[in-house]
Amino acid sequence: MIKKGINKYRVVNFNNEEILLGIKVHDISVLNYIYDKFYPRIKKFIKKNNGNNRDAEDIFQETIIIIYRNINEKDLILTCDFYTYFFTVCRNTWLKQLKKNKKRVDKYDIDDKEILEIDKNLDKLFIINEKHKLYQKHYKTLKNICQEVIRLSLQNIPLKIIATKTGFKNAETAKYKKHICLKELFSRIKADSAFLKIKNEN
Amino acid sequence: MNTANTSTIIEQYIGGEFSIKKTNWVENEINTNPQFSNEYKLHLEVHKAIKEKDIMDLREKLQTICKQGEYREMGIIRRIFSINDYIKPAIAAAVLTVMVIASILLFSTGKNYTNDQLFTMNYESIPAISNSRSANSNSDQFINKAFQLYEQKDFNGAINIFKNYESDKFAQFFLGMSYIEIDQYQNASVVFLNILDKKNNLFTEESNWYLGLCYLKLSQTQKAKEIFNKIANSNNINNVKANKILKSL
Repeated sequence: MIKKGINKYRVVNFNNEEILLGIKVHDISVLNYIYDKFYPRIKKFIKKNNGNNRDAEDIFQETIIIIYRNINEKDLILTCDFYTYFFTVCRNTWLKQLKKNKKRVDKYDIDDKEILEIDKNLDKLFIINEKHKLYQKHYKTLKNICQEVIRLSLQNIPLKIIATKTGFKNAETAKYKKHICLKELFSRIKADSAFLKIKNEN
Repeated sequence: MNTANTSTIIEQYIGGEFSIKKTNWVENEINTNPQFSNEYKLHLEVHKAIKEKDIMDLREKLQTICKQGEYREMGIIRRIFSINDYIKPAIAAAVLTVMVIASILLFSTGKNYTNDQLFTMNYESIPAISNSRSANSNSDQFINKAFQLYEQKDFNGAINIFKNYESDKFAQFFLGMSYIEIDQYQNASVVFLNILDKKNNLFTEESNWYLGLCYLKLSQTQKAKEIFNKIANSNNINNVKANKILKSL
C-alpha cells in the first residue's frame, strides 16, 4: 500500500491518507518523505524562535509521535493538507516548550487558542508524550539486562521463564533483579530535573 | 515509610506478590494517603510508558532519519539522486577543470610521499555521530549502543556490535571506520569491499575512498592505484584528492 522506490525522497508524493498510514505503520519511506519535505521548514521556524538544530530535530520527532498517538486514538481524518496539520502540531509543541522554559516568542507569536481549536486532544497527548518520553529515556539508559527483565515482567511473564530467558539462576534471582532494576529506574526518573518540573506543573 | 520502601511495596502490589491482608492494606493506602496514591499513579504511568515499545521504536527510527539527514547535510553522504541531470555535466566540467589545474600544480611542485604519509595526509575520521535505530528485533536496540561507543572512541566495543549488522550498510560503513581507527586495515578493507559489492548505495563513494586509503596502509599500492584511478575519473567527492595521491604514488 505504501509507495516504495529509490526516488522516494524526490519523485514520489504521498497523499494525506498514505502519510497517516505510513506514520501508523512506521513506514520508512513515508517518514523519510516527511523529513525531506517538511523538516527544513520546521527547522527554519524553530531557529527563528529561540531554538537550535537539536530543538528542531526533537520537535520534529515528537510531533510525529504525537500524531502517531492521535492516529492510534481515533480515526484521524484531515480536512487540510498534511503539512498544515503537521506544522500546527509542531508549532504548538514548540510554543509550549518555550513557555515552559520561559523563553520569549517574538517572531511568530501565535495565539494558543487558535491552535488548540484545531484539535484539543493534542494538548492532552502533548502532556502524556512529554511524561512518557522522560520515562522511556531513563528506561533506555538502564543496562540491557535490566530493560529485558522489566519488559518481560510487565508482560506478566512468569519469573521462572524470565529467569530462563535472561540467564538468571532461578525465579528468585529474576525477581530480585527486577526489583533492583525498577528501583534504579525510579530513582533516575525522580532525580531528573525535568521530572520535578512536570510534577510541579500537574 | 520512605519513598524507596513505598516504591518497592507498590511494585510488589502491582506484581500480585502480596497476601490478601497486605493487598487490602495497600489499597487502603492508595485511597487515603495522597502521597502514596501519587506514587502509585507514577508507577502505573511508568509501566504504561515502558510498554509503549511501538513509540520507542518510532522515536529511534526518527532519530536515525534525523541523524542521517544531518550527516547528509554535512556532505559526507552525497544525495546523488537529487542532482539535476542538467547540472551534472556542468559539475563534471568544473571538477575536471579543478583536476587539471590541480594536476599542473602537482607536477610543478610534485613530491613523492610514502604510503603512510599519504594516508596520514588524506585520512579524516568521520565525525563521531550518535545514532539510534528502529528496534525491529531484540538485538536491534544494541546498535544505538554501538554508535555511542564509536562516539566515545571505544572502537573495539563498537565493532563487536556493528559486525552483527551485516545487511545494514550504515552500520557496516561505521564498522569499517572503526577498524581503521584501531589500525586493522585488512578487516576494514574487507568491510568496504562488502559494501561496494552492493552497488549504488549511499556509501559507495565514501567506501571507495576509505578502501583506497586502507590499501595504502596495507602497502597494496597497485590496488590503491586502481581504486584512486576509479575515484579520480568519476564524480566522486574525493576525485581531486585521489588524483593528487596518484601523482605521488
